[in-house]
Amino acid sequence: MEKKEVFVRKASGLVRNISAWDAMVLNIMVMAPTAIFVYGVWASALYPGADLPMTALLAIPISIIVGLFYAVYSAAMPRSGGDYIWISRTLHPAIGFMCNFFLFMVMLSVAGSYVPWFTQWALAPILEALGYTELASFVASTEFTFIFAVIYYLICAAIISRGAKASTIALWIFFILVIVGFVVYAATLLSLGPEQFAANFSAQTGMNYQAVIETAKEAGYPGKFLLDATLLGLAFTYINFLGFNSTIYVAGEMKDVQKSQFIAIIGAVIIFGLISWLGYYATYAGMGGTFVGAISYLAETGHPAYTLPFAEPFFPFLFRYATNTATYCFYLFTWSMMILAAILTYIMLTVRFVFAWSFDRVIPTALSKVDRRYNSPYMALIFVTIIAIILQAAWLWTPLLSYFAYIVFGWMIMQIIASISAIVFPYRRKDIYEKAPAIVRKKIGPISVLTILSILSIIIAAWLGYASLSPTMVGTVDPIILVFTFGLYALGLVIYFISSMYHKKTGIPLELSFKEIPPE
Amino acid sequence: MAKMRIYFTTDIHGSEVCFKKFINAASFYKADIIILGGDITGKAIIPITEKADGTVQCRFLGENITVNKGKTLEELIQKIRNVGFYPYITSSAEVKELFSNEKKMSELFMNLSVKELSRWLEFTEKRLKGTKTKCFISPGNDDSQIIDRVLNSSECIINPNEKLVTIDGDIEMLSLGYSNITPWKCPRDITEEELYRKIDQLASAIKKPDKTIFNIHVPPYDSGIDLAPELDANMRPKLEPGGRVKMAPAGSKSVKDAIIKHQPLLGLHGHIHESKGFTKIGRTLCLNPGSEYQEGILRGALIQLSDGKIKDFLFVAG
Repeated sequence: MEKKEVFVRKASGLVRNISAWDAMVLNIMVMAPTAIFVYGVWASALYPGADLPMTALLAIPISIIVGLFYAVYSAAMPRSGGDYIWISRTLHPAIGFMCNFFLFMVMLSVAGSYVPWFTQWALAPILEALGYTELASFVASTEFTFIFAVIYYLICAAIISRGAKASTIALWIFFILVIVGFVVYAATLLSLGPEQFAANFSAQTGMNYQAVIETAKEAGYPGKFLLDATLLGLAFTYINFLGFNSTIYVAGEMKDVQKSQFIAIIGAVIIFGLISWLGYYATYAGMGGTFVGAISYLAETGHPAYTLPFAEPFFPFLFRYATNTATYCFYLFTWSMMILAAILTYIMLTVRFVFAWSFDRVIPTALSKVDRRYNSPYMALIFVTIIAIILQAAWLWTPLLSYFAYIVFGWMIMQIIASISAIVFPYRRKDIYEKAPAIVRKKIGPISVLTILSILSIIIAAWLGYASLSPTMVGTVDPIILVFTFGLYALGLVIYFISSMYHKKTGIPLELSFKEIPPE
Repeated sequence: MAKMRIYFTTDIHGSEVCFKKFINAASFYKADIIILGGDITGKAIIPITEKADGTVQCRFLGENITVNKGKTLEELIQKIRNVGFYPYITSSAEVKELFSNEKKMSELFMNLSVKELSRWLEFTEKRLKGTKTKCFISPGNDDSQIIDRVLNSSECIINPNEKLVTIDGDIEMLSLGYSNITPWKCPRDITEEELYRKIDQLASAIKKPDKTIFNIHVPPYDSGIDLAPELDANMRPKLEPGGRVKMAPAGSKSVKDAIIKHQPLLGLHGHIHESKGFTKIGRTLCLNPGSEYQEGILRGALIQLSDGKIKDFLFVAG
């Protein structure tokens, strides 16, 4: 507000807490930068001819469109809780809870799947490269993975219990380490060139670099980049972008939220996109794009010509043929920090979800108890840690993880529901819409920008939801897993309605939480 | 009364739509008693000036707005009122003068506060007259003393400030709109000692502490419902490494001591908008519903009492 155009008297004011830059780092870490080095191999293998650096560049504008949708919607209702609040206010609190509960399960399932990434794809290869072969196989075991998971979840709980400041510092340390490692990776490969890599690879693996390409071509690999494969491979790269909007869940604590949300979301997409592009580009420049596609293809099709000591030729593993052992180990160590950071962010966000549900009385109020010294919700933290450990055991010793195979599809349903709520928002919550900042009310012709962005968000979600269920990506669509995915949503609804019935009995219906009081 | 439902809200800071929602909350939530816990008046005036072509203009929510007189002007005025500002139709010359004359500006604020509050009370009378709803509206630390006479003059509301009132049966309510000293030196900021003395004086007449409600604007110190950004000498938030704002408890130690001493049934607080929450101090449940008045959302708390005990409570955003 201009000082000379509005009279303002001295009065107490509201100040928010999280800076745009802290928020951006949170978003980047939820996206797990350089996880793309794993996803890229799957994209290359499933869609032979996919141009990976191009997929990263294409994912940026797509993510920006969806990111703008979330940023604009967040500007209309800048409250912590994000789409949980938006959907609850515009559609129904039960639908809001259902979506948020699904995301809670998704985040803890992803955390559970990431722990083996650390033990089996980072720690074990480092030990193996250093010559500790027996120790390497021990740390890759299921038992050690579980012990590590328990210890790391407890470390996460300890960090989060020390308040938001400790979590922010931890995230910044992880972020810096990931970036340093990434710079080492990119600089090494960009200065190396495919010829030297080919010579190293052939000398150290017993496989012949050129023969890999030729064998793959004979087996059906196109040997060149194809547009359709690139567009399909884009789905994998975009999956790794998911999470760029995580700051909508902390909007109530962000400084200058309307501006900061744009910086945090769009900034995270651009930085993450450029990291992904540079990572792919450096990989292609250093190892050769055709070779990367060819070896991924051979590995994924189970071709006998693939004889590397690891099941899949993830880029961090191939990096060992580009550099010396010390640099390779250092890089793997920094790469693994991405995994640990992502798990920390998932625990942080799920703790917030539980805290918010408890506040809204959907689950017992005991779960919203806060430690006064650090203002951390310790009961929600204990609850989430216990659930995470139980799920981790289930992931490792039961086939439960396989039932989460369609979480991207489920996530897209959530995005569609959020987008629908945005389309109806100007009509269902006219009171909030009319007082929203100009950016929310901006129109192109007769249609509001928010509506246009919502429609685009639905189209993108439908495409990605479809792609994530396509036979190439998941094999034959399993109806049981599909039912399980919808079942997670249904479970959220069941929890909500049980709670609702309980509160009706004690006196105050939960449905009143977000109902607008008619002003006139 | 065996069963009683209370609706409590606070810190609407001039938002007309929030005030109307507060009054309508009685029928909407089927509340027997509705309580507005202070900080009622607005914080800013939007001057609306006439242009040579007969249209009027102002700057509102970051936009320069020009409208024709008549219906569109009325709509604009309503929008301004709904976010908690006072519309003021004036001339460019007067705007200039007001900016250079602090005393005149202050008088204008007082006059507009009284005028707008009087309009609100007319609305209240229309809605609540003839109903069984008991409506309590007390001032907060942000409100000038001038509004007390307006509140006291109304027949359909009760200003419980600095009183111990019986709200129903044997349920009593002690109300205070004061706060400990804030960095803004608001009209009802007083020292901790004065605050304690006022509470103690009122509390000495309490019949049954376990059936008493403390409707005290400022929350108890270090209770988790009183966290606010710590400010430096220039009123800017202090930052921690990484740009994070340093938060600190800003409630009142006197209020906390009084709650520990008297152990009332319920503590109803506001004052710190960003610190929505609940906490238990001994057997006392303390609530701060926070505030979202600028978005036109009325945050409140519903409390269900049964036989003088809290059966359930729920934060609502209406």
